[in-house]
Amino acid sequence: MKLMSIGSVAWPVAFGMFFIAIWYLAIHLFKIPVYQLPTPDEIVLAGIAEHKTLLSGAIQTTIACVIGFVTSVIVAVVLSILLASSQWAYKGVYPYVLILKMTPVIVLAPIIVLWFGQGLGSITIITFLICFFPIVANTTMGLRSTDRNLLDLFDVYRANRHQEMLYLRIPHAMPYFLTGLKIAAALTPIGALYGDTIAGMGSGAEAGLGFVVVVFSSQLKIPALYAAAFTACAIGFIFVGIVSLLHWKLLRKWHDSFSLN
Amino acid sequence: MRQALKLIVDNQLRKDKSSLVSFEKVSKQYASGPQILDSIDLEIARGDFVALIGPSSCGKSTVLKLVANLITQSSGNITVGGGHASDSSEKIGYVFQDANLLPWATAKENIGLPLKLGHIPKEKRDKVAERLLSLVGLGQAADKFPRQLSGGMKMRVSIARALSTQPELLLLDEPFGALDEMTRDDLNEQLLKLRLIQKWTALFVTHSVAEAVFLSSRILVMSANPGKIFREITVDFPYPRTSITRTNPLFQKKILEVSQALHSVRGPE
Repeated sequence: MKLMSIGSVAWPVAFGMFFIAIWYLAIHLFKIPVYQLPTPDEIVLAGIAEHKTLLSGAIQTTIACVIGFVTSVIVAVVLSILLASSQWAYKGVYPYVLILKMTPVIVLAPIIVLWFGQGLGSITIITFLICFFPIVANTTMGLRSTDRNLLDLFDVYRANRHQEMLYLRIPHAMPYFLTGLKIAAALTPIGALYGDTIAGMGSGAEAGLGFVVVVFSSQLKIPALYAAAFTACAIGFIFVGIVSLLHWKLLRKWHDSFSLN
Repeated sequence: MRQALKLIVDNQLRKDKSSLVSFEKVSKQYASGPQILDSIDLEIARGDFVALIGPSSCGKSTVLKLVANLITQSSGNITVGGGHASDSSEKIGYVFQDANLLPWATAKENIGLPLKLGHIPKEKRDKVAERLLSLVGLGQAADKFPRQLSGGMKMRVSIARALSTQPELLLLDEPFGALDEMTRDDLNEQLLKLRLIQKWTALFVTHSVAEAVFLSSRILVMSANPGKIFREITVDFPYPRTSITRTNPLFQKKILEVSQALHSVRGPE
């Protein structure tokens, strides 16, 4: 079984080249000025020229992403298991999880900055909040939707609650959890970049990519701005890629989301 | 005269065989629902192969669930192996409708599951599972996942799983209902072969008259609304039964007898 076939690489590459050709053509034909749309080579050159700022920004943002994402996964999984273990906890606590979800992070961010100050701490918390809900919602649903017949099977053999959780509910919830994880992974850089713009530190090496974007745009460094956008995109891509790989590793053998051969 | 003598001998035999499952005036009714079972009396002796047959929703599966203590009766008394149904888990194997396997576990792991839940170490589980896999003719499929197996193969894994704890009593809830007739006949024969090796007692729920006659020593025909035992029919073909048994005219006659009993339970359609 191969993760990627030749076709799944060749087609996007072909389309990408076609797209870049259109890009050049459009700039040439409609005489689009550089401050609206730079050419790809201008973006690459700007990226090389600003590579130090971009790289340190990317590192800073990645740190916020990793810490926010990992803590989010841990807390979300623990909470989900708790919510699935007791009807009482589910009824009492889940509405508040929903309320947290309904409150836009945008309005919470200034409060978070008030509490935790400027810097990585606040950025991480904002990232955490944005990842948290998809994981909790999906994992809890997975843990609570076990097949009645399989529960009966465990009952026939007098499984205790601990065994039922470990050998039945958790494996059953795995596809749900990984779906939540994928959504969260895609949201992670958004959280970190947004956190940067609101709680980012201005001083050089500590500036995350979101802050770099703000600076570039105020300095009207337009090609560099595009380069920053592509850098952020790459971070998101790596995150989603890692989670997809995990998804494939854990489910490919038994789950219907992967073909048999 | 000979008939009468045979009857006395049969009764004597039945008394000698100790009772494994006993229902005394057992009724079941869910809160604010209709009555499902009404005052069922039932004796299953060790070594019996009892089939429960009857119209849909006559409470056949409910009887199995009561024996396995998955649910409790509203009134009456149930004993399994002389004790209360709740402390009989090691003695019981349960084969569910559909194979009911864990999709994320291999055939071998699925078979070992009841032992795993009983805290038996992995080496021993694997040994038992491998032996059972070869017994049901799936020696090559040990590391296959359920979705890689056909319906019949899944069912064999499910039977092997139920046998892993060496149960005294096997409860089978329409195990072959979803299979085609060829596969079903084949599995019926395999089931009887397995019974020659491990001497379990069986309580078997089915919709198929031919299957009930082929497998069992006693058939209990149930009527519905509420579920009652309407008639008991003894099937006295000697074991081992094989595919040749099916061609016996007496076998066909027995099928007719059970069909007629079932028809009178169902009433005019």
